[in-house]
Amino acid sequence: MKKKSQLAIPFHWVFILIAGAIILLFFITMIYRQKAAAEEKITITLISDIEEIFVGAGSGEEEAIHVIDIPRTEFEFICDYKTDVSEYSIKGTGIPRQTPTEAIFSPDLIKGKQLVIWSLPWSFPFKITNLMLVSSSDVRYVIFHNPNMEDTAIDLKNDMPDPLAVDLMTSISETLDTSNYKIKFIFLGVDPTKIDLNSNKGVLNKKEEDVSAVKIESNFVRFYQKQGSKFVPESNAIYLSSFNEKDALYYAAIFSEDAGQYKCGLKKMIKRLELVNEIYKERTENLINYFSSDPICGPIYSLAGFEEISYISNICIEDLDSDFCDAQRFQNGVVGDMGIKERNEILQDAGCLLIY
Amino acid sequence: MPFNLLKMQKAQIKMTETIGVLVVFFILILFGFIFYAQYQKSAIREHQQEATVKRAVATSLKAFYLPEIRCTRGFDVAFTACIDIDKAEIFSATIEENFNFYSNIFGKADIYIIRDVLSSADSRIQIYNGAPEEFSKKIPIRFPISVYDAKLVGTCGDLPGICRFGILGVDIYD
Repeated sequence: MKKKSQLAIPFHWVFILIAGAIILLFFITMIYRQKAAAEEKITITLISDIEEIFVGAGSGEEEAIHVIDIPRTEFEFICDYKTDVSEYSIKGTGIPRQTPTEAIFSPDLIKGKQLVIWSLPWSFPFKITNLMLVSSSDVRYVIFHNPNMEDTAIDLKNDMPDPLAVDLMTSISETLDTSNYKIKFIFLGVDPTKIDLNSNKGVLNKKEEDVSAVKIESNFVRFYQKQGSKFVPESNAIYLSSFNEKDALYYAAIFSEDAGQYKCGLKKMIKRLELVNEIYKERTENLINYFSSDPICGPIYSLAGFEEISYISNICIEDLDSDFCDAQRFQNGVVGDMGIKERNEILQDAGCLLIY
Repeated sequence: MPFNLLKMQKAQIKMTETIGVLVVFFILILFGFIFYAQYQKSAIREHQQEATVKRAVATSLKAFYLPEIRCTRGFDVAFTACIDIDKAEIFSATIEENFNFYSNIFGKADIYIIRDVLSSADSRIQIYNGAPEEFSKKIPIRFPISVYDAKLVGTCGDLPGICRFGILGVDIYD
């Protein structure tokens, strides 16, 4: 009996211990859950802020630049040309936002102080969509130009949004700040394969995947990747200059991570072009019927340009690498004899209803 | 009563007391937990409502600026708040073929144009219909717009044709 009564005191302490442990565990769990919830909330808020900017910038009629502070946050942008997977997310959170129709061009990883979203309207020749060019203030863009093309290089530099680090260069031995996590060379009038990176130790010592280059020709874009001390051609893709004040696709090629991402965005653009083109084609058909007896306006309307764009769009959506996917044929639909733009100008001069 | 038995009863009372205190304590924690869960539930609901409103604004913006139906006036200069009725009718007639593409843009929404508010005749043009059969909430957004009809005789600004006072309706479903 004596032993039983003696047991009551340690039992009392065991109770206190168990209860204390449970209480402690409860609060620790609460703190962890709160921390996770707060982090998730920040992620969702940041992602939805960016989504709002994408919607606003993607819809508007004019060029727009948005700069967001993103301390300690890394964004991943994926646009896979082959699988059509297109999304962006905050790295490591697993909360992606799908972008099946938005034409977004960006480095695959965005980190640093500021995220820059630059939206540019793309018309061909009528408004099709807005391109979203996304980058970081910590990516360095180097416009490597032939000395004869200095004016073009300066114009290009001035066009780029302010927070971006943009340098002009005419010789690879020039001093360059290479502390940025990515360096993108834009070659103007210079062959990238002729550049020997041994002359610039800063660039040479960068990881191969962190240094890339692009050269934009009249009808195609060529992408390069650093391999050893050279720039090696990676892939080509067609280039469609737009009918806007600023050539949106030119900048899109500069902002793209690589040829695959550029082609993925371009495919979305051509898909939208095909759809909008169909609307204008039918509208023009209505105008042709409506003005069939008008000797001035009637003969100016034509479907030829629309049919050309429709035909070539189909081919390019199927396979952008096809030899038949020709940028010149897109241009033929807009300018020249059958050109939509030229006919629209003639219609305007004649005081007729415009095609667009 | 023997002294030992009295001592044991006292210990038992003390133990019951401790258990009682613990039970009360856990009940309090349970109350706290229920209260917290309720708060979280209402916060999530609030967040969902906020997300729905944001989606509504986003969808209506996309509809308002849709290049497929918006007026243009040569060289990509757009009228403000203007829908070209010819383009809207063509778009309406062909949307089914490309429904998958546009459902990625508009989602669960119903978009339509009332071409003449002042007319009593039924002048509704269905632009996109992605309304679900069942929904818990509907947010209607209306934009006053100019509806431009190039085929009618008259003038709209300095252009041939007629502009009417219409409405772009966007209903978003949750």
